[in-house]
Amino acid sequence: MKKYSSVLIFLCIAVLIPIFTSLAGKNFYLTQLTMAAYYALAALGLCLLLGYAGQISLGQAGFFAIGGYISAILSNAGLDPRLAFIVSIISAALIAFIIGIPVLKLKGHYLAMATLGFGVIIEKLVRGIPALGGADGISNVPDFPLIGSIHITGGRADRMPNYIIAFTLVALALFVLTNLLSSRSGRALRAIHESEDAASAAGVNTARTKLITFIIAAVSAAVAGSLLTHYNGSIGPGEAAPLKSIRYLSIVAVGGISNIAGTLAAGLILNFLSLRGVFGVYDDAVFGVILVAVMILAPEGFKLSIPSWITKKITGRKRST
Amino acid sequence: MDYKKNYGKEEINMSSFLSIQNLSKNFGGLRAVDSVSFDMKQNTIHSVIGPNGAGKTTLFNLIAGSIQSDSGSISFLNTDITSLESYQIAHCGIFRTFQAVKLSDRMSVIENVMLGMHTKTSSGFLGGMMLSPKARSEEAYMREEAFKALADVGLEQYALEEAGSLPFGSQRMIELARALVARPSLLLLDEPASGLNMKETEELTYKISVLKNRGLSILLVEHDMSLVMEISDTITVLNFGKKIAEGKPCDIQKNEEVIRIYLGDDNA
Repeated sequence: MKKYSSVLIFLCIAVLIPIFTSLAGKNFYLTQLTMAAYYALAALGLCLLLGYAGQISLGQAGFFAIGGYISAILSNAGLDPRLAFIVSIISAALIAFIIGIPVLKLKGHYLAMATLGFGVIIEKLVRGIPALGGADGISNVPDFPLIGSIHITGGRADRMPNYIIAFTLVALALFVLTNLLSSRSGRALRAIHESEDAASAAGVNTARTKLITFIIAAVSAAVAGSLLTHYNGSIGPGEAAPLKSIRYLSIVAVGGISNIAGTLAAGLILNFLSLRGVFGVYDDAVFGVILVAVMILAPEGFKLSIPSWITKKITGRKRST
Repeated sequence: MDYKKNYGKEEINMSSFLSIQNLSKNFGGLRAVDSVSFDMKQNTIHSVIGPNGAGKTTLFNLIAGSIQSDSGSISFLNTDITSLESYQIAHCGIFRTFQAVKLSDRMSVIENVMLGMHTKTSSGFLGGMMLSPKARSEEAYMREEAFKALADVGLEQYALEEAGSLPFGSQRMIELARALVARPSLLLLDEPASGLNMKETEELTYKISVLKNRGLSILLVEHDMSLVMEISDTITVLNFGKKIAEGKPCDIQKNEEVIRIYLGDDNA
């Protein structure tokens, strides 16, 4: 069970938060926490790709927007949002598959530039295509019927169930990634990070492994984009902006880069503060400064005090039977 | 994917274990490997030696699939493996070590060795994420085999340490364990003694001869002459990319051309 210590700690914190907010009479915090959880989900996917497989992507916001916009258009056109969700996720996976094949042959700066190019294209498309609402984006996106009467929606009455939905989803992502990282395929992708030659010599099809990891990262962003769009009832081109991709990158960096628990913590805290308006007009600048600071002070990533020992447990110690 | 289909079906013919025919590789204007041919027999230690720049490492990388040849062919157990990529070479049962040890420093020692079990298992991303029964049983199997392989090189007590924290000699042995855990049909060792001290080299020499006695076939590229002469069954000598001699260690030691290129010739 120690392997899942980060999942358990996260669940405990997730249970404690609403208790504190209701005691403090600040339940409206749950709204920003719910949104922060979806952004953190997209960051978790990037963490797997960048921190563990060692493949940088500056196109994460592009996939977030693909998930959000496709869901929004199809739902507004009358399709069941659940069906629209599935279509948007499959589309994001397909696009990741198609651009991943040529792009993942690149390494380092070249891969960063190619994925940045992808992000720029997506942003220009969503701004330029009239049907996508241009600078205004798409609004009046219907609620997402989950089960029974529970909907993903930003209404005040639905605040608590939506907090639970978002945090459960993130906990599931943490659980699934923890499993993956200590599995055969997880070791293969981690081995690629440090030596592609060694992984290949051990029989790992590195091109395929990188591609699947890239698709998983894209899907995590698309899921976040789709559900957050239903939660907000709208999506705008700002979600596709390369600056958003930089934001995901700085979250992964602050979280410790190769650290899913750290990324989750950083994603929740920084996005919450940003959504609360703590950074004011310097919002984007703050994330830029954070990224620069991490690169200068700790290019291998800061170790947040709790996550560092959790990670050790996840990756380092597993006794055999 | 011919390599999977053919492998194991063919009758193992001693002369067609590993066969290299007219293999050439150019780097720009440099002919690093120049029309080299040789056959390696099963259950032998076959060494490739030569002075710096002779093309040993290039030849080694061609066989391992890290680089592709310009002409010529490589066949293994009667299967043409010339144009296979290195991961496909591994699926043929050929495993290698690296001159500069390549481990994942941030993975534990046991995890590095478990990576070597990749070709022996097949569970994928989804199985790993969802903890499928197959993924779990394979995980246990990989761990068990990796522990055995680590015990084999005497490092099982370090199984849970980070690989990067161990001394170089131990890292080399972990890499060897990673190759051995897959039970290779052919083991490729790229300068295994480089960076080792004398005692470690002796241990390595002993280890390699033990592996041969267990029936392993080993292709060795090595600088350390005493190691090569002690354990090799056959030696191929390269100079400027060309094969200049081949034979048993005692013959090679007497070969005049080999003596000349190693000891130097004032007029050369």
